[in-house]
Amino acid sequence: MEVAISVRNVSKVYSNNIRALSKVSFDVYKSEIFTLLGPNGAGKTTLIRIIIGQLEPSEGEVYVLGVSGRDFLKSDVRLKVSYVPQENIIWRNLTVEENLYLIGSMYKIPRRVLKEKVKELLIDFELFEVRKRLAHKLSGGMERKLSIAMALINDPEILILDEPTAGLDPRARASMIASIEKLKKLGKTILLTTHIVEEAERLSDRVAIINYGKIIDIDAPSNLKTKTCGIEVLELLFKELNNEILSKVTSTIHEKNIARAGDKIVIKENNFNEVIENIRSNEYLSSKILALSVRKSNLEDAFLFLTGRFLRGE
Amino acid sequence: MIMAILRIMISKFKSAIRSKELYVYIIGFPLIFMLIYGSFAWALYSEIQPITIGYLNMDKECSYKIGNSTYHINYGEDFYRYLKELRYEETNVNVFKIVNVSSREEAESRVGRLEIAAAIQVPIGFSNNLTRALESFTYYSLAGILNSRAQEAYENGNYEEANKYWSALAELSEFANASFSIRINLIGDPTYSKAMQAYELCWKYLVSYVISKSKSFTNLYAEYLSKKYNISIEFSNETLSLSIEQSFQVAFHRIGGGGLKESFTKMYFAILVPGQIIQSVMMSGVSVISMIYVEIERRLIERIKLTKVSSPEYIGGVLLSWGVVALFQSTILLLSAIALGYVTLTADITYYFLSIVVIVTAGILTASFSLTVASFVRSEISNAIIMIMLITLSLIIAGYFPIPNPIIGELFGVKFAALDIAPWRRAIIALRKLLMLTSIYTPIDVLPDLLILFLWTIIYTIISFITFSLMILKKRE
Ligand SMILES: Nc1ncnc2c1ncn2[C@@H]1O[C@H](COP(=O)(O)OP(=O)(O)OP(=O)(O)O)[C@@H](O)[C@H]1O
Ligand SMILES: [Mg+2]
Repeated sequence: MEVAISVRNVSKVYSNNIRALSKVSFDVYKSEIFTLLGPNGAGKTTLIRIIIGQLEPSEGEVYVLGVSGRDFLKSDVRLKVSYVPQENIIWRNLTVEENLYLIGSMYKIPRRVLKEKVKELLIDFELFEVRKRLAHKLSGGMERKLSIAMALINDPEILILDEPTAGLDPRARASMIASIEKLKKLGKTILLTTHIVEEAERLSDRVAIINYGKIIDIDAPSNLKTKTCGIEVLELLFKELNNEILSKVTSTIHEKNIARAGDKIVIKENNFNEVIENIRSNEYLSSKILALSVRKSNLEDAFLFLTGRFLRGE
Repeated sequence: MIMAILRIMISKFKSAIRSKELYVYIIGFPLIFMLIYGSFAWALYSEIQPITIGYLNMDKECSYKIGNSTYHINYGEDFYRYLKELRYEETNVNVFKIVNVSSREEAESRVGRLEIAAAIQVPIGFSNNLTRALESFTYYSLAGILNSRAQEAYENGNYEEANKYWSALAELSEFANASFSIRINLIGDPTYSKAMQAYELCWKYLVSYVISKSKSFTNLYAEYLSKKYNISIEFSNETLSLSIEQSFQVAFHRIGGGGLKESFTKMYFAILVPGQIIQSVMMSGVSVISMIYVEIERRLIERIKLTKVSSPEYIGGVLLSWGVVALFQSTILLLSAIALGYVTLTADITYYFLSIVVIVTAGILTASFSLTVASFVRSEISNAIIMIMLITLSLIIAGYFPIPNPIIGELFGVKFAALDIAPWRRAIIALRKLLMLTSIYTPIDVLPDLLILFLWTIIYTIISFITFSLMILKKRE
């Protein structure tokens, strides 16, 4: 498989001594969707900014289509990469259409070609109706779509999306996910970041779990799940989970098969029935338990077992 | 290249004029200033502070006789002492701080350096003319009284008494047909507000000086006549002030050129309106910097770096767009000033063409300055910082206050002054000449200002290119 982006041993310490990345290495292959999954402050944005040549790594190097980060902005390779930051990049006082034309003219696309392209993108991203509207009057979802439409004006080979669904309502999110799937079908290489597991699972060919600036694991979502927590997990939700409850529930279970997060206990690779029986027969535990389910494992569980943290800031 | 610059320019212009912020600087600030200053035209000048003026006395002593006494007088010197003693009402503060100058050249160069607000030049025949004037005023004050007294005595049959008055009137009549014009010259720069203040004060105090002189001269003469003819003369010289004002003149001489006769109000707006226009252009720097700040914060700049746009194209587009914004602002302000009756138009379009050049340049200059600041200061308060910088600068250079301005060099016969480091000053001066004082200045008179404005704008633009490219566009953090 051809490598599109290669990250080699990258560390980043900001000038205020915050270590945002430690020895990060991975490759993104052409035409795949590669997701960086990690909680707030994990270092996702930092990594992306290093990839597009805006930040200098303290250590290590990145290569995009074979060009090193040092030369990226000077090389024509940059024209094959588009980037949509976490914040929407739009000119707020221009209309939807004007935004597309401006970014297109920055790529020096001939006017006639650009006109076609703009129309196509407006239709694809359901923005045609609002093309004359000022960008700052758009809804969050439309703003996001415009940002991504703008990123596609130059037909990039590689598309980097930093939290493309952040701040969107469920409907807008679903439509954004559909758009990204469409892009994948077109054979684009997509690097995206998210802290939403459903998205990562649904969209990604491979996921890198990143926590405190370190890559914990990289694999296909299904592998990550089964590898770290098997096919199914038992999830218990208690009212005011405390150490007493914890020890009563888990006394017979191996420590590495238990993860606790808030009032929730997740148990993997065990005889779940035994645990459930144990709770049912204990009056105190029965009175404290709110929910109990055996369900398929997901990336959230994988993340929890790998890092001991929640992904979402719950 | 050109197309890219133009497209960026157009989009930035659109963005700018759609942002509400700009309207605060176009319409809010300057219009409020204009209205306040406009309706209290003199309030600006009411500060209790001596105004420094030069004094060049070219007057020759003259003499006159009353009866057997001969008086020698140099009114030029006397007027100097009079001005020197003047105090603001109810204070101990002198109205003038007077500096002696020995030639017109010296006066002009000190005015040019803003050492003095203007220079009073008392012409050669001042004493002689003033004496003729005093005699004439005395005639008009006394003739009527003597005549009616004589008439009265005659009608009462008191012929001896009547005769005395008639004799006195006959002696007075030698003053009847005196011709005179009391004139002093004021040498100054009409684009500079302090000069206008001096102009206003000169009028005021020349009038009061002449009135006081004529009162004492009339008294002296009345006393002489009453003694000689043994008559009593009761008169009031309160009526004097009305007739006197038509008989004299303070001629304003602009430095390096001819004289002018403009009304004070017109001169006042000539100072005010262009100052406000350029100040509002300067204030648009706040919009420039917030736009740049937003582009940096929202990573638009990072995005732009991935496109084909080069730094010169981007910066060029930004700078030009603010030139056009400046034009837009100025048009609105100028139309408002015309509507308020502050400005009258001229037919010669050369003036307007050059004005457009000046305004666009001032806009580019402002944007360059702001880009340079944006290269170093990047925080939410950057617009507050630049606002403070620009307000301070604009007050220094608008010419509302006297600030020392030494000449620091010369090129092609054009003198560079220290304040030219803030080249907006030249833009204001040029606009004063081009938009307001068209009857006094020709377009040629603006060339030195334009030259200096251009040179400094080029320097600022180069600096902004370098700093903004290095610090923002080319930098890997
Ligand atoms: N310019 C900067 N200067 C100093 N520290 C920074 C800077 N940018 C980010 N950081 C710090 O680096 C760490 C990683 O931040 P980063 O933005 O890369 O995380 P992230 O994974 O993108 O988080 P989020 O999900 O909130 O976007 C954080 O602790 C952050 O505070
Ligand atoms: Mg981030």
